[in-house]
Amino acid sequence: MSVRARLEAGPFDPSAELARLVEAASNDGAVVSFVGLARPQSKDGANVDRLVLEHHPRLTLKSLEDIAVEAAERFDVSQVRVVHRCGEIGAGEPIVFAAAASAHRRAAFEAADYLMDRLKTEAVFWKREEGPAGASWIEPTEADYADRGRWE
Amino acid sequence: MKIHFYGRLAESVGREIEVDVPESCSVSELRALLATEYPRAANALGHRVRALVGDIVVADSHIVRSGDSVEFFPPVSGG
Repeated sequence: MSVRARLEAGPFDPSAELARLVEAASNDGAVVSFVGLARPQSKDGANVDRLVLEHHPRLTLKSLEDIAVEAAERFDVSQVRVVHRCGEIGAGEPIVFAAAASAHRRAAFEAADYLMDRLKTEAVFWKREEGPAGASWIEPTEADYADRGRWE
Repeated sequence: MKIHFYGRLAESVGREIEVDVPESCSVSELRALLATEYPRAANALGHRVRALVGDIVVADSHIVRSGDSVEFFPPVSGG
């Protein structure tokens, strides 16, 4: 079992993360990964230049680690990875990489789904979109909380 | 007492403020005191905003003391 969570202040390469995970999972039968990207438009269609993710000096990384560990405990997976950006993220850039490896595919799919539902509502970040029209704070939606609730 | 704010609360109140509080008061009394002093943050302080002392989420009934450092978290969101 290998569980790793990382907070990145600068850009990261999801394909390199996936390649490393596939290599580490050579004894498994499945790898499932998710990459979240900064959208170039807000929900109401306004252009977004960048997403700014504020983080907490102690609790942000801990929240990533806790979520990764709980995914590993809950599902029959051998590897869990979370890489999450903080700071300024340009539109189109990766924000998050969440992945899991397992002997059979279902556990890896579920673990990746679970990781994202919890990251959306519990990872300690405060997000705002910035664009020509100004800045606006983004908080979890009721749908995000409902998605999180599926795992209770 | 040192109070730390994050996200939209930091934008409307500031990242860190110092307030005079009674020798000890509950978190809900502290919220009311802050809402009076910072009307712009009054709504923001009430809705889904969690209070933390020593990196632990505390209930509104938790008693804070003048030497404590309290953090207020608006809803968090990653991904």
